[in-house]
Amino acid sequence: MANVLVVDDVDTYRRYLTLELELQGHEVVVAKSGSEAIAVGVASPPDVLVVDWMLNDEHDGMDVAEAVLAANPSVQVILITGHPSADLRRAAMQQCVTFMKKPFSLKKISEAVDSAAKKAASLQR
Amino acid sequence: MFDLSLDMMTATTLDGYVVVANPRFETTLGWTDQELRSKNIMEFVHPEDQEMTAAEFAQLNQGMVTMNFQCRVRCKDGSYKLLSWHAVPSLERGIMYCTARDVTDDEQLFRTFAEHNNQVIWMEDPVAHRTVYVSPAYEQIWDRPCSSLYTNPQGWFDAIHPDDKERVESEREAQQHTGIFNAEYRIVRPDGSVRWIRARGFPIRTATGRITRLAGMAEDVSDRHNLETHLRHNERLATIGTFAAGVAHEINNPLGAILLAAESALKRLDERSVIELAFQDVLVGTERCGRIVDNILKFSREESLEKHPAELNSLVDHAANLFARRAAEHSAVVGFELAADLPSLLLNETEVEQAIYNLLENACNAGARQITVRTEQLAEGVSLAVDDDGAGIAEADMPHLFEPFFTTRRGRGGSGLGLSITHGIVADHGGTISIEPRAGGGTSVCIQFAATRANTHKEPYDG
Repeated sequence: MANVLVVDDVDTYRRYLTLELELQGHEVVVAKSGSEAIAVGVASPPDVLVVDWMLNDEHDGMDVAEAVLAANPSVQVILITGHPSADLRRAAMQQCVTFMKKPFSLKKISEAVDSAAKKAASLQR
Repeated sequence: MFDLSLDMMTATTLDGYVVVANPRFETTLGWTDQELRSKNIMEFVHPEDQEMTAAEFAQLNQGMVTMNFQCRVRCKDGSYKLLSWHAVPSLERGIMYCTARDVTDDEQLFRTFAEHNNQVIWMEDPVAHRTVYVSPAYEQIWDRPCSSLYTNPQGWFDAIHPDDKERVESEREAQQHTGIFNAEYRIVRPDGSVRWIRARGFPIRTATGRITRLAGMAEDVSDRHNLETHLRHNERLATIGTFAAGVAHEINNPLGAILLAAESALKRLDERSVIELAFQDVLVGTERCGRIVDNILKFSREESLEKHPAELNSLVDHAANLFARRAAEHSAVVGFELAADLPSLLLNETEVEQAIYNLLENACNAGARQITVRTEQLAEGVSLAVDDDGAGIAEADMPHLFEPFFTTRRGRGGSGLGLSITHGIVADHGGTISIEPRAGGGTSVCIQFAATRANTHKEPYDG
């Protein structure tokens, strides 16, 4: 199972993603702002980063993804957002970031995390 | 000089009988001095021009001078020439001294110009209500023969769309006094198609100011009109787009939370703490959705809210008290400059408090540190202003401020409903709201309430 960093400024999202991912056997660390996520994610990069795009501080989800990927390029990133603009999709694609539109079901996010975890494991091997 | 003049010169009696005419008459019209003598000028005037010529004579007989008076005069060969007259009466001698110049070529020039123009150019005799001239563009635009206007000068008006007739009619009435006509209207062509027309009319006056002709132009502006309609339609679509995106965003967040909480609880039915938490989140989320729906419904609310006589200053106090905690969170200070002895107004207290609260909230969200609420007695009501020293509003955002769900803080707590709800509340009170930048930065929002006429309860206030 994988180490997952969950970043969202909405506490309900953090709470239920954590509950679900832990139920699936993952190790979950949470961050509620962009700067907190960058600090945590750069210091000890996770296998999978699940990050909301809009974070209500000076760093958005793409900033977090870039910082963590710079620290460890094998990190798998899932970007979640309620506003999937074409620009954002393009930027996400360039960074090889998986995209997920809010709202989503726990089933869907846990499937995405599972496949990202497998990919991370194969890259690290 | 009389014999050499390039203009026609004649002396007539005050009622128009020729006393003497110079040789230029023969050159221009073919009539000799002998043939004209003792004849009345009126005999030579085109029948259609006789009425206005008689009117001109009447003025001359009151001692007024004629300048540039135009009428058609018959030549010896039966054709007509357009003459432009100057005349001076000598009432004591019973004589009129007249000069006339042949301006037929000038008119020809005008016609050539008019006939190659894709605007309708027209000229009307306001006394005889007769069409003097209409250019061929009339046939293209109105799709009716020009000749129909000569037999029925009302023809152009009869073609006007029934919905526009009244408006054009009142414009025509105004024209009776000013001579100026300016209107945009639709016409219905014989095949049922509709064209938009922009028409302008103006008077042609003699030197003494008498209106001898009404002239004007009418052009087909359907293309421009269709473009404008198209643009307005697009603008409305954009507003609806903003509205829809706003609703989606506002509803999606609590909806997402409800979805996750319910799904999570179902998977952990044996963990009481998770289920409790999940139900809490479902409650919070659904309440939030309910509030959003309430706010949306405010835009479709048709009946006016109940209003009672209230003191605006005490509503300001109350709203500011409710806001105190928010102000502290934003490190903002709210100051007051409240006018004493304001008349009481018919207000819905809760709604007006919400309006004031919304303005304070906006000021804080713009980063204001100092907010001042002012009330003031006006000649015809009371004003309430909220001034702040915040970031101000970008000019490009100005036209959209009152649109529901328009926000510059999407995803950062901005719902885009505050100002549009405030606007709705003010409108419901028959008031007005305006937003202006302040010199030196920040924004000033001013609400004006009209003075109350009666202290009756429950009466919808119609301003």
